[in-house]
Amino acid sequence: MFPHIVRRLIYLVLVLFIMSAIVFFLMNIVTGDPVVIMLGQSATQETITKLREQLGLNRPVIVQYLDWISHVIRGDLGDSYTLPMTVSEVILQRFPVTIELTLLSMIFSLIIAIPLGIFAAIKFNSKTDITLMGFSAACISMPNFWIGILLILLFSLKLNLLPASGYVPFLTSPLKNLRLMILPVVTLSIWYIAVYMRFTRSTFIETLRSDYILVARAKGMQERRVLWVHAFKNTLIPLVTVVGVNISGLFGGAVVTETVFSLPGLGRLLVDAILGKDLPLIEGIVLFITTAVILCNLVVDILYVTIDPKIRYD
Amino acid sequence: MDLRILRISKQYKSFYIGSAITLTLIACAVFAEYMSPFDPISQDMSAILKPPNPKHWLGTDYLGRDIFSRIIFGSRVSLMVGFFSMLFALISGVGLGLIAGFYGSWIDNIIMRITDTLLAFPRLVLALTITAFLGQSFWNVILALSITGMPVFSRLIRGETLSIMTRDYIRSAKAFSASKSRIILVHVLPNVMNLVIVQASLSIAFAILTEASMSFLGLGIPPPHPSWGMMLQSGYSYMGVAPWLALAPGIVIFIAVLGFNFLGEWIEHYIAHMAR
Repeated sequence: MFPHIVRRLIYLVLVLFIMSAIVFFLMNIVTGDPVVIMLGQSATQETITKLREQLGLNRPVIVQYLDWISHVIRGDLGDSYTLPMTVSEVILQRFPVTIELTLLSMIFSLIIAIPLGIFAAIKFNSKTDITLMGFSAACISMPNFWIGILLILLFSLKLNLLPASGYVPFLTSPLKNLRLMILPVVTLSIWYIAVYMRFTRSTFIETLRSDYILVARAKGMQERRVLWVHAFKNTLIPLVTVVGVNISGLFGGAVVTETVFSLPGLGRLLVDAILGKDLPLIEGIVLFITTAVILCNLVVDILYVTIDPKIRYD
Repeated sequence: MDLRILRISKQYKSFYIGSAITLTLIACAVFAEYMSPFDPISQDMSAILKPPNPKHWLGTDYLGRDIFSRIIFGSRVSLMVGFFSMLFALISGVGLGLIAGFYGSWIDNIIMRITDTLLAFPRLVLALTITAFLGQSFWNVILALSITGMPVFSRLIRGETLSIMTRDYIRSAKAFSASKSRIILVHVLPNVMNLVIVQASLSIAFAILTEASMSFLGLGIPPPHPSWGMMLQSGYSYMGVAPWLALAPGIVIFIAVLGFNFLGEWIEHYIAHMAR
């Protein structure tokens, strides 16, 4: 196990290195001159040259990259063009909102999807199963921001039950925070509920057809024990893989959800940075989100061994 | 035509629903000029924010433009974005996957590390970032979506190619001194096409959804092209007074994506059935 974690960490460094190179060269070569973007088209040549020298942008691109990456390793992502803070400060300020949204969505979707998936599998080919599968096909095809809009229309504008936007930190007021997070979490979760439900159903059906379940039933074991002790545990292992793969999508979904519900998270910050052409901020957020995704996948890898001791990485 | 395809199709309602939706969308995109009752960009200041009525079936927007006509013309944009981004992702992804799986060694390592890096980015975040860097235009959005779709194809095809390379018919082709390009194009490519077709259908659905999200965030297809995502974005601001502005394009995106998902699902079933 330990050598595997070391190998994965080396791999993580390699992926981060390639990723940082892609992001840096995209920013410095494809977008054109960042100084012109900062100062605008009306700036004089003299001002442009002066700022370029000041920022070290007159050096060869490879030297700039090595300089930039050495700062990134030390946690210095540079200064934001549009906010009076460093990129690291802004990211650390906004990250708790995004992590709360994604974590709550992941937990909520699993709590809803696993029982529904198992229920559909037990009722395989019945009307209940067909209805649940129809519901999941519909959820997979809906844009999540549209679901958010529908929820706002219904619960905020028509029924006046839940707030449509705003954010209060959990530590300031836990109840208010959770009330404000209900609609965003449901919005972000719907797609994942559908995906996890389908997956749980198909894995559970497959598990119920396996020999050891047949043996357990033949031995006269209680059906409840067969389902929850034998079949359920074996359904969890592949589900962990699917959850791991979808972590990246959760962060992507958070971008839109945060915009719909005006949550001050990293996703909304990214959209604002893109619209304001704040290149260091875009670069910092993309690097940060991708690092978080890769680290989450590493945690999922380690979780496999905890859930299924049969898995050996070394 | 192989009659088995019809027999198998009968077992799956998803085939009828998926093909009916897809064909209707294609018809709307091709014959938009004939099917839409109004010009999608002409403004009627006397009919601003009108709810659905016999004249304007889905109502009008804040500039008095007919929503139904804009949705029909929007199908052209969404289908083109879906189709071209899938096509470019397919060509590049399948090409890279075949090369990685066939040659192996350091070539495979380089291609797969780049693929893994691209897969580590959340797809919407990557598409938004690329569009931000390249600038907002119709083809840049397609390019951004193609780049985000490409690693899925290359990962899938590389795995399948590795498995095909161990088969006996590849060994015998090598024994007969078949050229590398012949082995790839004649023996490997046709055998990975099943997977490619399934993924292509799902890719179109995904591209339509992602483009809608990008447009909603103000970073998708720029005006004057009437795109469904952009219609939803502008409708969002009028949600309290004119909910039909956000409802209609949302329902259409949902139906279009559902159609391609059903079609993909059916193709998958069909291929599995034929393999038995």
